Amino acid sequence: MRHGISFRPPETDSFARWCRHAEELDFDAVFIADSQSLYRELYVSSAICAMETSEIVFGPCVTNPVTRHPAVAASAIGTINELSGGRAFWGIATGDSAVLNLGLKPAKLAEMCEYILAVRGMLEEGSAEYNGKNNRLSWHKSRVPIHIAAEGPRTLRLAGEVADGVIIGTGFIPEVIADTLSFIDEGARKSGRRVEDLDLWWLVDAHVDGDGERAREDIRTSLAASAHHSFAFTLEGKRIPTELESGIRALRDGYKTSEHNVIEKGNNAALVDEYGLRDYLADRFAIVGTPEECRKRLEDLGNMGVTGLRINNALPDRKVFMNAWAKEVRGMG
Amino acid sequence: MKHGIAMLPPAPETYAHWCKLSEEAGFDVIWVPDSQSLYRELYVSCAICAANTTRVLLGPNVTNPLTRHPATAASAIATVDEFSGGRALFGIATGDSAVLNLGLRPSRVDEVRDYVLAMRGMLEEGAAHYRGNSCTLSWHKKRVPLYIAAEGPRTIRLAGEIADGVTIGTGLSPEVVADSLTWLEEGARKSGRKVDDLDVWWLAKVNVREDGEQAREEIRMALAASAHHAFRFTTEGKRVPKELLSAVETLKKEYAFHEHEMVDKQTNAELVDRLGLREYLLDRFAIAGNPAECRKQIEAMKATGVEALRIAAHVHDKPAFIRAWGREIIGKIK
Repeated sequence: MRHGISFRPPETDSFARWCRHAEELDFDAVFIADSQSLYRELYVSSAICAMETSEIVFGPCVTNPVTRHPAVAASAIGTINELSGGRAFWGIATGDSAVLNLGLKPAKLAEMCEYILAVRGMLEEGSAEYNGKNNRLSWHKSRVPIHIAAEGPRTLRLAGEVADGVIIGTGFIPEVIADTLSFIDEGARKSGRRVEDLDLWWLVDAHVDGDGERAREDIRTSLAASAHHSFAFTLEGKRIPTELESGIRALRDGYKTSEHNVIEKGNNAALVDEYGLRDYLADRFAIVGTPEECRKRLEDLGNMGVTGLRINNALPDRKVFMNAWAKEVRGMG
Repeated sequence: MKHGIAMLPPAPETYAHWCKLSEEAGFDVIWVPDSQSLYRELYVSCAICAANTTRVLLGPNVTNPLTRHPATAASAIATVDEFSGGRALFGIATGDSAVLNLGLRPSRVDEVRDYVLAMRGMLEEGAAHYRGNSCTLSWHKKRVPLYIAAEGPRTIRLAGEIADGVTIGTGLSPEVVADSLTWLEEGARKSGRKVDDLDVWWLAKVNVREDGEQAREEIRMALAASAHHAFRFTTEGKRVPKELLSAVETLKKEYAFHEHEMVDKQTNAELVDRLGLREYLLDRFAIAGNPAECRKQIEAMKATGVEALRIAAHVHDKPAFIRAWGREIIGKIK
């Protein structure tokens, strides 16, 4: 199992320490959120990560096709890749809090696809069409792996078809995992590949505490965010138990983007309990509990075919979490 | 005299080295151009600059209102400000090679205004309206000085009215400096201020070498860029001598954007000579020659009210230039 850690960039000194710490504790990747209104900016933070570490791979997870021209995105990730000695990847989705906090709408799938192909064209060929215009990027020519974050069949198929990797947010119910892999495979076949040819990372909300109940309490903010993300557009085909559908819808409606992943604000966490979703969401999206419970769960996920985790939580002190995860769950150092 | 240096970001390692050298040479500001298609990306380069310096101020000069949402720009410059210990500046104009290389058109002056005001609102109040939408930036509340780069009366007035500073690219001949300061004053009065309330920087294409003629020869393509920048929308009111107007028009038409300010490319350099514009453009936009010639030019400028130079040196040996400017100019001019 590969363990990647997700950061929403806090003030630059702390972020630098977190990145060093992730590398020291043998995490396999750092995933950096892009939500300019709530956190420090993505590419400045990526530059800090590049300069503070020497081996770990890292990149946006995820940016969006709305807030920067694709030439700027290509130039930025190209510069980051160079600065880090080739350790960058680039993750994108249609846009969530980054665009919602600007009063804008997420991109359509076709728009995201055009954006991705433009970024790839510029990075690898030095030019690309975008919005009917010819764009160039003359200083850079090298491949940066492109990952699409996906939560529904259409995006999973698209990722299988055009991306180098997928950041999967569908959850860990066995039949959901099977669905997900078959959607990616369908897409992969369109470009003469198989699902095995893609680099797969599964989103997971994780928290470990000697007091398992407290861990489950603290993770509610993240569970709300996962449900909001994963079920934002439709519940169809997502294998949600019928009796929970109305609760999921109510959570979606009551979700506050302005408090997205901000643990000090209680609104989104409270929704999880209000609609009786805590156990279901924890089963579907989380690894949570005592170190022993977490280890057991990791083993189960491995048995279900999960090979890479993008670990998220909304806890204010990531160093404490990383230490606990590395030492108590993974038994390192 | 204050000295700021604009350097098109090369590969990160080289750029880090240049930034360190510039700080050692005594520069006050490192200005970072934004032209993603030709050079390394702006904010990543700002972060590299911040990490490799401790004293100089730094920031975009210039970015544009088209390639990033203002919330992204506000968040980026605020992050750079925090990372550098409060050393960030932000400079913007309508867009030149950054937008032209994407098949886009530069913004209008009122679009620059909207963008700057949106950024100011987000940086200082945490929220702003932009294009009919409410935008938030909730993690940051601190002033970052905002500069507008201006080459004509309307933009200079706008800078006088809403910006904290201005980088003026109209030229350095005495009558052009006087015109520019008048326009700036007109804008400043609209918001109850005076020119003295603004931080005013003047663009100069520079080069200093023991062989003065070689110094001038080397920066011809940069002169073409200055002329193209300063005259691209109109030559009216810009005091271009009548007999040179048609040559300037031809230069604008034939300017090669994809070779914008690239030292090894010849198209734009040859254009300057072919059109007989070398002497005029040198006089108006450049400080170039041997050390004594450069110092003499700068002393003359001080008398016209120029107090800060934003220099760009498009030369083959950048480290040698940076050291020479520090030693021969910054060290010897008060």
